[in-house]
Amino acid sequence: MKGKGSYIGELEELILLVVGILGDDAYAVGVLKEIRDQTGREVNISGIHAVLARLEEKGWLNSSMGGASKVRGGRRKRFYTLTSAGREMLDQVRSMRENLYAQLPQGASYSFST
Amino acid sequence: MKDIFDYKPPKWADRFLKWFCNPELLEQIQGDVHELFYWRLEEKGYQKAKNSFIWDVLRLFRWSNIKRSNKTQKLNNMGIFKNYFKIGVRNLWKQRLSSTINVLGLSIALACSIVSFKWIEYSYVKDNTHENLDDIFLVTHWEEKDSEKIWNGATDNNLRQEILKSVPGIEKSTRYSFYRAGTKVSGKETTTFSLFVDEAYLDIFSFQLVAGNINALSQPDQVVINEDAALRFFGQELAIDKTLELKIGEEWKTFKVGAVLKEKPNNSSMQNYVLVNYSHFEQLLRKSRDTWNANFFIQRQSGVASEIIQSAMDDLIPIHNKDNEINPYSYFHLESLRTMALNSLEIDNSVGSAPALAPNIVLGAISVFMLLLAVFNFINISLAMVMKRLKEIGIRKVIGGQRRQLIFQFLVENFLVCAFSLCLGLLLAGSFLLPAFNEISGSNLILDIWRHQNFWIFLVTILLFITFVSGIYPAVVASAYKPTQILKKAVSSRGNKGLSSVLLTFQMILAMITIVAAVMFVHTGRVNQARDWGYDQYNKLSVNIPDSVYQASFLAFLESKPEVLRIAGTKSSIGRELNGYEFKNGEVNYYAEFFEVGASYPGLLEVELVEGRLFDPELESDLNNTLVVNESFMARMQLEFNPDGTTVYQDSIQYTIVGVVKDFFYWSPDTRIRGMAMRAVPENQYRSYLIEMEEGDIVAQRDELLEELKEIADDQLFGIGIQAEAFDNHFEEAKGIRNIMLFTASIAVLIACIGLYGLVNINVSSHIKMYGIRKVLGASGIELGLTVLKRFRYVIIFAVVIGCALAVLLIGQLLGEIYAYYPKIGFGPLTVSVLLLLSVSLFTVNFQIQKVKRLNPAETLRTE
Repeated sequence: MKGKGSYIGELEELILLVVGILGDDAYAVGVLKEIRDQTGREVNISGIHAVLARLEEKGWLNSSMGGASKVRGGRRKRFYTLTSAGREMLDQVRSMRENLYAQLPQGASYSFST
Repeated sequence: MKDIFDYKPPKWADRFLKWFCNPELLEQIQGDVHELFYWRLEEKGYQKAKNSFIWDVLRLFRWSNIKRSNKTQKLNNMGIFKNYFKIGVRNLWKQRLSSTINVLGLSIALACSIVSFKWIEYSYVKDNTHENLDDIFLVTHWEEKDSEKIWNGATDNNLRQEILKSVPGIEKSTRYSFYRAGTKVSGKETTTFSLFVDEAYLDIFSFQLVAGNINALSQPDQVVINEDAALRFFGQELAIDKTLELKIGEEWKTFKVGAVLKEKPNNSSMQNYVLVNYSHFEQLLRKSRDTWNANFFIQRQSGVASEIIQSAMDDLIPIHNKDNEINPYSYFHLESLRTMALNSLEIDNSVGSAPALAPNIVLGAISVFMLLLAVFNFINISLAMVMKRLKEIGIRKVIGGQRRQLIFQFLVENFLVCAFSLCLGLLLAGSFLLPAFNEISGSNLILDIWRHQNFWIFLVTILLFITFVSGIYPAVVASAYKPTQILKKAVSSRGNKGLSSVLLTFQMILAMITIVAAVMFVHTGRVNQARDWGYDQYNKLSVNIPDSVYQASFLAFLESKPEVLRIAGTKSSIGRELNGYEFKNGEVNYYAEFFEVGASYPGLLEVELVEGRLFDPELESDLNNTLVVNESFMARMQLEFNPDGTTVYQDSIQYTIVGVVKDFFYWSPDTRIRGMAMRAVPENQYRSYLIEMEEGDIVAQRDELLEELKEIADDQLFGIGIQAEAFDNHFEEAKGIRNIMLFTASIAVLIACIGLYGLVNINVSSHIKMYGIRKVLGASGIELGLTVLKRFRYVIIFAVVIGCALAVLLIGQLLGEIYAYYPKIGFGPLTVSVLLLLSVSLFTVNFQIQKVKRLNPAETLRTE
């Protein structure tokens, strides 16, 4: 993990996942739409840009330019792809979470007081 | 249905994004927000999409998007500048004819404006050579006179003494009074304008010392003179310690020259011809009065506010006014030396002279005209030049040049051309124009580029102004073309035909006006010189009598000469002097010109009698308060001639008008004839003889008489004037302005023709194929010429018509401002002017016609 901090935030994880899902077609607006469609969450484009840039810096994403379109006024997109380190990170987070989830006592009573 | 692309995201937000965003990130970010905009447009409508777009942009305004990575900063800008420069120079060289035309026209115009700037600045910046400039004031005050408020520059002498006693903050002071004193140097007697000042005068005002002691004025028996006076009195000899006698009042006093100063600077209001200690003037005045008014200058202690001094002075006014109820002082005002000369028209008894407005306006107008002409040329030609570079613009745009950068590139190029023209203009002004102008105007302006701050400001301003005005339009127009159109050759490279025609028309109109001005000034000069003076000025000499002692001997000698036909003595000689007196007829007051003549003088001049009679030399009674007046006098005084005696008053003396003569030019034909009265004086008052000679070479006759009379006159100085040359000085002066007009017109025509030449040249070369084809098809030289001319005929016809109309209006007014009498701008002068303009333009166009005629169609049609 190239020595950068290995901590991953909640939004970072979400975006990293979506980039993985979208495969070759992952760019900021695509990610934004996908998150909205799948989770109903409205994330601002500036937030997505910031997170994507941070993830790339941490080495979990790669990027390249390409794919101009008319709605973009002929401007290219920056496409992101998941790196193996990114994939590994996702696996790690998932196994950690499943591990923790498994330890949840079955049928335990929930406290309803504050 | 509307296409979604008819909707655009809010422009300002887009621009804002573009402005703050790191260029490396801009493409993806801008693309994203645009994509989002069109997505939301379809989902939520235009208004929502717009708002979200703005919101997105504002949210993107964060440091990580703003900060530039170091890489872009390191991009070498010199490369592109080198490229600009190289391309610029190549372009100028490739189109060297047009470039030369541009530079030439502009530098001539700039030289003109440099000269007029020098002149105008010179006439407005006065007295700035005095070191203590900011601390020197003329003490002025407002007073009431006949219930009117008057600004007076002279202060009561007693009040001055009180001021010096009690008002704080005054470091030095001096009085300043002129007096025309008889002067005797080694036996020769003349008169001199002497200036009486207090000792501190040379401390307060800075004049350069040539020799002697700068404190000489503290010795009452010493005078300080300047080099000019030293040369006049003592020739080349050293003036220091030489003696000089001055007649102050009736008393001759002997002085020693204590110091010699350099002549005062041109723009100094303070004189320094002959400076004498004020005590002598005071002694003279004390004989007849207790107090008098004199100019009073103070130098304040540095740091003291002038308001404090003023109010301390005001405190003395009540006491002063007690003894002085006729015109009491209201309050004091300290007039700074900086503004004194400029305000001198409003201050009574002031020092210095305000600049004359008319020449400044004329010069200013001329240089603005010239600059306009040259700038129009420039716009026209650079527009055409830029049109030949459209491909360069296309390429630059395709490889990512922005419009702003293109405009900048053109402006930089333009700046270089303008700067070069300015250098050339300076050279032209310094080496040719300014010396010529000095010659005409009798000034001595110099181009001191290095030590002259105002001049620098002027140069920089005018350079930037010209660069911008001449460059911005072509740059904006050219950079607006779309690269696709340029490269597809969809743009006609002929440029903006309409605009260049309008500019050319304007130039031609200006040229037309200046030509009419020149023609009219030449014409007026001729007409005025040939004007009938109203009396017979030919074959007449005016012999001065040096001293009354010689009156009889001169008369006897003149009478003995056979070639002298008639002789008339007189006190004032017409054409050489003017004197005014106020006359009264009941309620009517009029200030008329007044001549005291011998009884036979008007008869000898052969003025034309209208009513009554001239003076009768036989009639003793004519010497007693009788007048011969001109028609204007009668009209202005509202008098009717009555053979039994029409009377007017001068003070309390009653005069009887015995005759009325036709108006004649007692002064130059450039000045309006006013009311004039002649009074007969007895023989013992004669100061000169007017004699009529036999017809012949008047100059030779004069010289001969002068030689012979000199023997009679011992060593006394006297002169003989030729009556017909009385106004030659005025005509010489009028020639000055005529020359300026001629010069202006030539330059204006030159610049306009340069412009015409340039445009025709461009026109011909952009249609060179057409001419080739015409030639191949058998067009004759004349037909080709007509084709060239065709495009410009309306421009020239229009310019001629409008130019003539404007010229009649404007030049008529200008002539009226300068000459009292001038011929109407008639058909003749206008025709001459039009023909001049037409022939010069034809001559210019002819160059190109010849080129077209010589052109080989095979050459021009072969290429491409």
